[in-house]
Amino acid sequence: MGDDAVRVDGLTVRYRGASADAVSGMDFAVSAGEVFGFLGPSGAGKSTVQNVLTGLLRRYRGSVRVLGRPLPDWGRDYHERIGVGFELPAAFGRMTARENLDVFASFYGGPTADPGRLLARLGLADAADRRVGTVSKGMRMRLNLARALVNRPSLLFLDEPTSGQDPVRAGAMREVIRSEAERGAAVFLTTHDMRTADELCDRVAFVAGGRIVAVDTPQGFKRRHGRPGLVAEYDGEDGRPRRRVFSASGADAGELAALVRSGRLTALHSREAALDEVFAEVTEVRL
Amino acid sequence: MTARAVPAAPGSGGGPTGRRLRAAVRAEAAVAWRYGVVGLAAALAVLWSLTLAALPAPGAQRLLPLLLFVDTAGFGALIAVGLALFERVERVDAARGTTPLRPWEPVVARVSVLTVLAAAIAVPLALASGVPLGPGAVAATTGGVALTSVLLVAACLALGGGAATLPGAFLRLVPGVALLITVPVLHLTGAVHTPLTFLVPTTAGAELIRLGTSVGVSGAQPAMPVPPVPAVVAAAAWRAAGAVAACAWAARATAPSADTSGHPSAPPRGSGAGAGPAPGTRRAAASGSASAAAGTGARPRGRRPLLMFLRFDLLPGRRDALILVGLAAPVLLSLVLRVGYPPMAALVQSAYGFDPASAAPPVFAALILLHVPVITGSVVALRFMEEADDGALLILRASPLPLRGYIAYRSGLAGLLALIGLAAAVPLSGLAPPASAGLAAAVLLAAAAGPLMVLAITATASNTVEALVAVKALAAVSVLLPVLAWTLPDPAVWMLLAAPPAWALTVLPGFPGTGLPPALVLACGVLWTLVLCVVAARRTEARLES
Repeated sequence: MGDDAVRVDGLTVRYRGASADAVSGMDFAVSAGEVFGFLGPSGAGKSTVQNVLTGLLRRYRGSVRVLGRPLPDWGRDYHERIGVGFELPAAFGRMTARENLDVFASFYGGPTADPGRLLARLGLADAADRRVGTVSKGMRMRLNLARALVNRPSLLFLDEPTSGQDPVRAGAMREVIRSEAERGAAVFLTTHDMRTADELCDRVAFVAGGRIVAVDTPQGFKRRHGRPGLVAEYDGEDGRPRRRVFSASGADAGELAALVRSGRLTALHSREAALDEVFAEVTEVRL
Repeated sequence: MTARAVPAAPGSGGGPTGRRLRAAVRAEAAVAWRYGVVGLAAALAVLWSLTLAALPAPGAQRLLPLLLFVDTAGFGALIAVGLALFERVERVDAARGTTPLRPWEPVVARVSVLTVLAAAIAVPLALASGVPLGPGAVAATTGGVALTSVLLVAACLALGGGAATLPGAFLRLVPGVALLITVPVLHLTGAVHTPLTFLVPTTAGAELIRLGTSVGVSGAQPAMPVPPVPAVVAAAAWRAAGAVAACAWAARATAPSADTSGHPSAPPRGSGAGAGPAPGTRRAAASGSASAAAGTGARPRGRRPLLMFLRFDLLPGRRDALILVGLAAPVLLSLVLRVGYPPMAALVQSAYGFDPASAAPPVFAALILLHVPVITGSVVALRFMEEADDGALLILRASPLPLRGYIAYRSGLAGLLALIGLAAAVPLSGLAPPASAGLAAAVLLAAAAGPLMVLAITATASNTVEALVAVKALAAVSVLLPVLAWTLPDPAVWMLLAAPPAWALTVLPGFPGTGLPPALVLACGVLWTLVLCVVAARRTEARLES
């Protein structure tokens, strides 16, 4: 990870006619080569921040620097450097996937990715010459990602990129996104999919009520919100399944070792929290 | 991943702006091709050329400048709006908004492509009318069409591009472009002789069309003074300023922005205009309530879901302007004719020595009898396609509302609106023949074309843009073909009866006639329309279910 690709200080947004701020005094930074997750309940302000950073929303207060320059100092050239993958498919339905990429690639002045290779990379080689309106939502979402990558962006904004994908495709998409970060792109990821956030993000910010309430690595969150120790699952003397918590202090390490040696141990778990639990705890979302 | 370097096109010039603009134009041309706009332009060129060729040369040459101004130059106006609204559905506008394209560049590209198509349509029309066409006349005619098209397309994009639905866009367009069309028409017909007409920027384009189509045609146009060069320059500058302003306005109206409500990328608001769910969502909620009732054991009986949907669809304030447009447009049209036709007829008689009284039946047939069902059918069909585009129809299909019931309701609504519209417009227009059994049968037969219009569009179009293309083509066929009956020999009239709207004319007083009794014509016409409706409804149903 390198220099800050995005630095936001005191970002505040209030929509016309609204009585409260949609985003209130938000601070964060995203480094080049980092995947930064932006998580939070619906209406927390995630889309508003993304709209500010992509230049769609210009009425804000605070300081926003992107790719080394204050955002207002960028002209439309800013869009040469960024890629945006929307939450829902966005493409010409009557054109093929390849034609869509060709059309969008033609809008950029810099080098662009080869549409055929890009489609193959996202598992769309077979659908490259089919009209987008006739393919599945999952395929259109992969085309969304392909379109966002067509200009080889330095800063990539992705909103629910794995939506509509089966687990295998979702994993493949996560690999593509990770490789973009390894290439040096900063990735700003908005998602409700905690598995994607957990596997993909270097850091995660939880947003609630227009504010960032916590920032850490996924592992850091899970450790902090978990409990120390290990949970052992094993077969009891009577053959029935049992469960026991061993402390992290090592006080009962001998008993755990004996259990392992006995051959009755069936599973051993840490007691760190899942990111879903962290989400609920940090953002205080309750049903 | 392999990167493609952007080739520096030798001699292409223009810098980054030129490169982006060329890319935008290429993209727009691809869109026009794929959505059938180019095919429609070709079809209209053929249809109008055949019509002009079928008319006597003096009549065709008199009609040509008006046709080029009103229909050809305005070719892209509604299509531009339809494309803008559909791009919002497909979210292409948002995707394009994150590329380096400046907001005005896609607008200029759209206006340019549609204008080139309009100018291309003009050439065969001029040739078919028999107007002598030298290079200067071609330049003036196509230039006039192009100049007018730029203004009309950009103005319509600006006015209608921000509307939520097509009927809503129509309501914005009608008052917005009325002056841009009526003033030049008054100028073209010679009804108004004053330089003040050039204050309306489209008049300069109309004047160019008039000059281009009147070269070498004696008596084709009423005598008008040749404008002095400074006046022409001033008019051109005024028109150019108008075009730039309209394009800038259109860019502002269609650019994706999260600063305003209503855009897909804008977050939901707690209050205000953007707070409510989209129309489709509200419709879904309505049908959802029916489903919920069914789930609690209070299963709706019989046709209750259809009635609930109908109530929701028609109640004022819950939907947009569908009913308003469907009811107001025929009345407005007939009032304009009632006020405008007599002085226009007097003017034509004094300027050309032609008594338009003999043309009253075809004028009534084209502008009222056949036109009103086209209007109501188009409005309802576009609502149908919008509901398909925004997914609301999919939700309705998963509700207790049967798909066939929905199709029948929509087409029936078009028929009802057409009947009400004709009942108001026929007497209001002042052009109708005296009341008779023939006229009543003609009105009933004409109204039956409303549902057929809806079903023909939904059976052939798969989205709003294609529906607009179909509207334009079917409107030409529905209005133009039957009216040709007045110019064709008897055997050919029988062939025209393949188009159901033509049946209405056969019982119209003043029609050269097939000599059949009105009751028989009514029965046969309704039966033929019904057959075509069933075929089109089945195709619509199959398309929606596939």
